[in-house]
Amino acid sequence: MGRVLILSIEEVKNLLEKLLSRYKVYGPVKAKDFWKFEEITNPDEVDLGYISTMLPIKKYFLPPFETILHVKLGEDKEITIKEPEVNEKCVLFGVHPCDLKAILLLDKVFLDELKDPYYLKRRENTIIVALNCTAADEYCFCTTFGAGPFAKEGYDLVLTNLDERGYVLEVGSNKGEELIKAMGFAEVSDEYRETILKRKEEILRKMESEINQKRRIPNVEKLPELLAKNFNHKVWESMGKLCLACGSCNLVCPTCYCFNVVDKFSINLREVERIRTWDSCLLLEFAEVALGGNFRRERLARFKQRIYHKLSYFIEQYGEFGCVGCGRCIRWCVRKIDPVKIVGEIMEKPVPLS
Amino acid sequence: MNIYRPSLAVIEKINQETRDTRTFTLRFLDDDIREKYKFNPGQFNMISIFGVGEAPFSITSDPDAKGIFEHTIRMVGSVTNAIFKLREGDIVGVRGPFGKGWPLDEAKGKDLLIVAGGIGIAPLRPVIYYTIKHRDEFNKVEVLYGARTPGDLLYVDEYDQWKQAKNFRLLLTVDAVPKGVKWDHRVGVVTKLFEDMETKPDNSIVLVCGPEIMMKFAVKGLLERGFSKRQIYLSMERRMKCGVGKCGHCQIGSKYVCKDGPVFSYDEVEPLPDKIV
Ligand SMILES: Cc1cc2nc3c(=O)[nH]c(=O)nc-3n(C[C@H](O)[C@H](O)[C@H](O)COP(=O)(O)OP(=O)(O)OC[C@H]3O[C@@H](n4cnc5c(N)ncnc54)[C@H](O)[C@@H]3O)c2cc1C
Ligand code: SF4
Ligand code: SF4
Ligand code: FES
Repeated sequence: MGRVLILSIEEVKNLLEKLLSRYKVYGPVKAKDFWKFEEITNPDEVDLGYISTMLPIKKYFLPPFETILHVKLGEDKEITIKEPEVNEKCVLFGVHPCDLKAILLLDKVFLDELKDPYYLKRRENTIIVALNCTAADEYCFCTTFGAGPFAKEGYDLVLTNLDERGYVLEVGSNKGEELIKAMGFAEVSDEYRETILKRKEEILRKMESEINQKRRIPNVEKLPELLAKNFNHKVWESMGKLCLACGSCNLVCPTCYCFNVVDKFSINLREVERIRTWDSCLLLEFAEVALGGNFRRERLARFKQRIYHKLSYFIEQYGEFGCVGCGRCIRWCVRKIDPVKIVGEIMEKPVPLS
Repeated sequence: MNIYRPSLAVIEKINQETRDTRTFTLRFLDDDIREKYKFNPGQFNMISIFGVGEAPFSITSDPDAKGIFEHTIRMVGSVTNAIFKLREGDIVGVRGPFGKGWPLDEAKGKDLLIVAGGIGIAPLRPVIYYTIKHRDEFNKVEVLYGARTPGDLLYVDEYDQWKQAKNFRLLLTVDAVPKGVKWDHRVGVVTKLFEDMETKPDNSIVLVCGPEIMMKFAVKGLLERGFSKRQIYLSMERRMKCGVGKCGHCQIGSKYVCKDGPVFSYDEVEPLPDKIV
């Protein structure tokens, strides 16, 4: 741990090449007018200048569709249950700090005392090479929650672009250390190391102030209390009307974890797949119960559920904000509904805090 | 152990309770699982009908009974319809027990008031068994139970036995009595029975389960009679897809009904959004 290396862009490609020879590698790839995380086969496919992918990397730990049980219904009432095996070992290359932080938050949900076996296996089998952010767009607000622009923990390796000098590569885990050892990159002198780390610090400060200026929730530590007191603030009503309740925000959010479970029969009615799929609390059916009951029938109630879960309930549940400020829910919203603006409006005219 | 993997259990017995409700007696196939299985009154299982789905049901049997457990199930939708097609000897999947049950430790040495509406009596039946068997651990036990009609009352064969227990009262009411049906108890909603009850706020605990609208009026009536919010416990019902705090469906505010509940004190429930009670 603590090792620092300098890689030229060629050496970064070299690193990717080496990873590709040993693992399945997923990385940011430019699609038409957005980026996505995809399997890569050639280092040139990766776009390390990307800002944000449409879907977050949670898809590699909690796939959008996943069989959680295979069930065989035999003759004579015999039932055999088999658990699918999760074996793939892979590398996620170029994960931005907000998305990495989101995985650390999902760990709190899936790896508490009742561990999700499939999530756990994928976490163990995945190597994360993070990529600190040296560019942001108008939707990014990671600094509000301390999730970015630079990663603090949870990575095996992390890269930071220093422009003409190439990339700093730092090691964050034993797994990362072993990888690097095996690759035989040269170490830098102590002196140079100092210079590099100083330069890195400068870039970090510059990025932080740039993001803070563009988009930020001030006094975020007061936010849960402010929201609790302003549950009936007038801003909500207009939002409830603006929101289409399409659920896109839930799908693109790196910290949304809700899922549905359905059983699917095979054609011969002898085999059943129990499948879980991403779900969305914005959808009407989400909180429906027997005989037509629904505890969030109003669109406004569903809209508030998402915002309050991220900015208030999650803290009570897991001790941290449930938002990492990746900006996806704004970026991809048809109506450009913006939680930062909503909070801003509440802050402008709040019900006074005690 | 995979938290999503059900264990197999055979239906030993089916009892038709009412028009739309049956009690199923289940036994785990695996000796080891059967031996180790233990639950607290108020906890629930996720029951699987493979090919149809899974749904949460309260465990309704005597917590001291060894080897078997029971569920009382009302037919309302796809999983419950599939369960109603099953016969004795058929096999279902079971995961559980899940959730936090009724605060029986806290109730020890106190009067216990049980208020149930409709199928809401199901998660309270283990409490009734338990208090009757461990009679000396509790003071007075009073059960107020309401159903739509006399024909909708559950566990009618057991009432005589309940009432024989020392210092145990059972008060019944129904919303309506069809013509020609004999009924010598109250008519009206379950809160009507507050007029007849003996339990006082002093040194008592109240356990409430029923449709949320019924719980709302029960809580209101209890508060008016001087019971405190912390004395009143409710069992909440929400859609559940996992039972283990993962799928997110059962959340009310910051609470997961499946793992923080389903039993909560009214004190905890009162500040939560998206509820009737
Ligand atoms: C902790 C707990 C304990 C329960 N105990 C009992 C019990 O002892 N006996 C009993 O008969 N019922 C009990 N229920 C209710 C029971 O779970 C639902 O009736 C059942 O899930 C309906 O499933 P279904 O597939 O038959 O209905 P569906 O076909 O799924 O749907 C019918 C309706 O039920 C809704 N629904 C789906 N899942 C649930 C759910 N988890 N809870 C409520 N509604 C749901 C659907 O949205 C739809 O509106 C309990 C529920 C909870 C949360
Ligand atoms: S709520 Fe929006 S900004 Fe926050 S993590 Fe989710 S998608 Fe990103
Ligand atoms: S409740 Fe809604 S906002 Fe919260 S994790 Fe689930 S889908 Fe996302
Ligand atoms: S039922 Fe899935 S989280 Fe509670």
